[in-house]
Amino acid sequence: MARASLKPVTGTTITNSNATAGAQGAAAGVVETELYAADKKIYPRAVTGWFAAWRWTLVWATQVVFFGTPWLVWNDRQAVLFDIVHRKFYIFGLVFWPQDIIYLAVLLIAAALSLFLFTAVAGRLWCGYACPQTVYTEIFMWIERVIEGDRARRMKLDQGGWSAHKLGQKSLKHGVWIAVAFWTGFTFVGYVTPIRELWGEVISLSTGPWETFWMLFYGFATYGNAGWMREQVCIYMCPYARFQSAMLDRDSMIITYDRERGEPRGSRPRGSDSRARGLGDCVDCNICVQVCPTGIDIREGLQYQCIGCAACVDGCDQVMDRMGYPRGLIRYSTQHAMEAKLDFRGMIARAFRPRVLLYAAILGTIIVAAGIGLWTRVPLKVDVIRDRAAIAREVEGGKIENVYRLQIMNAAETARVFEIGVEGLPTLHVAGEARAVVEPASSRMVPVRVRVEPAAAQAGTHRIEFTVRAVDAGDVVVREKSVFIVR
Amino acid sequence: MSIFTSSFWDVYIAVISLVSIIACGIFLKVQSVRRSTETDTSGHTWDGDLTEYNNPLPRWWAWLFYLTIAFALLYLVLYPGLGSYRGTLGWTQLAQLDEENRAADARFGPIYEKFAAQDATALAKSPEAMAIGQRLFLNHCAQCHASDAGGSRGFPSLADRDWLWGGSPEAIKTTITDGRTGVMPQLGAPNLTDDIWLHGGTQDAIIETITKGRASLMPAHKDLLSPAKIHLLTSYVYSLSQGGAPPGR
Repeated sequence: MARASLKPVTGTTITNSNATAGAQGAAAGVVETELYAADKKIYPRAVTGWFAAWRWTLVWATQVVFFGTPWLVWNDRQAVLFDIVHRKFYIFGLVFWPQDIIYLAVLLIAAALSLFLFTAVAGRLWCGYACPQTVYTEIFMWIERVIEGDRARRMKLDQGGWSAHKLGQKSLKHGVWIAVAFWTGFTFVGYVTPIRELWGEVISLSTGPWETFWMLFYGFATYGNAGWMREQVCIYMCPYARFQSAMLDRDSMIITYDRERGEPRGSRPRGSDSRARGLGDCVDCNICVQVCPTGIDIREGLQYQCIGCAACVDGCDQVMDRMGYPRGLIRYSTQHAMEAKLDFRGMIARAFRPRVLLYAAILGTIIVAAGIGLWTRVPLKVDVIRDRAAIAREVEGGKIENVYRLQIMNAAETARVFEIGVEGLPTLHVAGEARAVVEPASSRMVPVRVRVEPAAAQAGTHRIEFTVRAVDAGDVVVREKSVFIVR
Repeated sequence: MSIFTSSFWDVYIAVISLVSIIACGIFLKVQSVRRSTETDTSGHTWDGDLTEYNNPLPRWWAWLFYLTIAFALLYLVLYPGLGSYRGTLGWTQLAQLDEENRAADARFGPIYEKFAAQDATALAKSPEAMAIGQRLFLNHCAQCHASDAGGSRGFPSLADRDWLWGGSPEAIKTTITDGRTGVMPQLGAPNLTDDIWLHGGTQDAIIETITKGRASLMPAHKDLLSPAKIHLLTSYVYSLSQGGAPPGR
C-alpha cells in the first residue's frame, strides 16, 4: 500500500506516549494508539546574538507603544481612546465614528497584505519578532530565567521534589507573571475606558463589572498564553501557522540548515580536521534544539512548528565561532538558493518576483488611497431622513412643504454652527431657522422644513440636494441627496 | 393541532438534545484511541491509500471538548432548553426585559423626575429639557404630527397658535394623557373663519367634510408613556406654539 503523507516531509514525530502500551498490544498484531498525548514541557535555552537583539528591540518597541499610548494626552483628553459606550474612537487629532468603519476595513486589509508581503519575502517575520504571543512569551521567559535560572537549572528544579526553595521560586515567578499580566489587562482596558480614571478605580477597588471582567480576562489570557501555553498556541491554535504553505514559496526566506555543509554531523575535538574524519561542519551539539521555543530540530528541514525566530541561527553561529568555522550553517535562506547554490545577491534578486511586486503594489496603493482619504476627510456627516407620514403639505400662500430630519454629526472637537441649504428646484428654500448648533464630537437631529412655490414644480418626485456647511469653515461641507414630493 | 395538547414534541426535543450531547461524549472517547496494526499512523484512510501520520494533539485539547459537553448539560439544567422544562434559574425573556426596563428607569428616572417637579411653562425655557423633549417628540409624536410638529392632512399642526382643544399646558397634557376624539358633526368643532383646515380647505374637501363627516382620533398615551415623560412632552409642545422654532436650534 503506497502511503502518501499529509505531514511535512521531514517533520518530527512527537514521541508517542503510548509506545509501551503499543508494544504490549503488538502480540495480537493490533496496536492501540492515543490520538491525544500529554504535552511535553519545553525548556528553551537562553540565546544571545544578532537576531535575539532584534527580537528584544521589537519587544521594547511594541511594548513601549502598547503600555505608553493610553497615557498620552491630546486636546485635554486621552490621545488614543476607543470609547465604545459613546461609539467614538479618538486617535490623536482624529475622531472616528462607526460610519468610518471603512478605515478599519482598510487598516485590516493593509495588515493582511503586509503579512502576505513579509511572509513571501522573509517567512514568518511576524511570528518570530512581533506577534504578541512571541513578545509576551519572550518577556515571561526572561522573568522565568531571572528567577529560576537557565534551561538546565529549570529542568533540575522541575524534576526535584517540593522544597521551601522551590516553592519560593515558583511563587515568586508566578507572582511576577501575574503582576505583568494584570498590568497588561489594565492597559488593554485603558484603551476603551479613560486609563487615568480606571487607575483611580483600580486603586479604590471600584471598577465596573465589565472593566473588571475584561481586565481579568485579558490578564488571564496573557498569563495563560505566555506562561503556560506558549508554543502550543502557535502549533495547535494559531490559524496563521496552518496556512503558511500557501504563503511561502521556494524563494521565500526561511530558517534553513545547510545540510550539505553540515552532514555527516558528529562531535570532534576542537581544532581537528573534520574533513579528514569525514565529518561535515555540524558538531551535533544540539544547541539549535535546546534554544528552540517550539522544541523542534531545524536540521530536519522546514516544519510548520517553526515560527522563524532565528534563535537557532544565533545559537549555531556562536558554536561555529568557537569552532573557528564560518557562520551560517543555520541561516536565513530560501529553498531555491539551497538547491541551486545561489549566492546572497542571487537570492535577494529573486525576492523581486511577480508575487512580491504585486503584493507591494496593492499594499502601496491601499496605503496611499487611505492616506488621501484621511487627509481629505471632512469632520462632518449628514444623514437625511424624509418624514414618511406627511408626504407633502400645503402651507400659507399655497406653498408646498416637505419635512426632513437631518442627522448632523459634528466630528470636530469644537462646537460648530452649521448652515443648512437646499437646491434642486426654483424657489426651493429652507423655511424658518436654517442654522443648527452641534456640540463638539456629537450629533443631533434637526427637523427641517423645505418649501417651494406651487408654480415652480409639477406633481411628482423631484431630486434635491441638501448642503450643510460649517459657518466658521467653508471647506467643512457635506452634500446629501434626497427627494422632494409635490402632489 | 396536537402541538398544543400533547407533550410529545417537548419530549422529542429533550430526548434528541440529550442523546446528541451524550453521543458526542461517547464518540469523543471512542475516537481518542485507534486500534490498528500500524503504530505510527492515525488509522484514517482516504481515497484507498492515503493515510496520515499520528501527531497527537495535546490532551487539554480533548478536555476542551469534554468541557463543552459539561457546559451544555449545566446549561440545560439552569436554563430552559429541554422541551417545556423551565430550568432551575427560572429565566425568561420577559423577565429579562422587565429587569432591563427597571434598570433603565432607575438610571433615567431621576432626570425625568427633576423635570416633572418643574412647571411646564418654566420647563419650556430650559434648553436641556427641550432637547430631551424633542427626542421624545421625534420618537412618539412625529409619525403623525411630522418632525417639525407641522402636522399633515388629518393631523393638526402643533407648531401654530391655533388649538382645537386648548393650548394651555393643562389642556395639552390632558390631550396627550387621555387622547381626544373629534367627530363632525358633534365633537370638537373648529373655527371655520380662519385659513387653517385640518381636512383640507379646498372646495372639494369642504364638500366632502360636510357630506360624509369626519372622525379624528388622538390616542391616549397614559399607558404608553410615564407621567414624567408626558409632562416633558407637554412642555415641549407648548414651547412650539410660543416661540415658533424649537429652542436650541
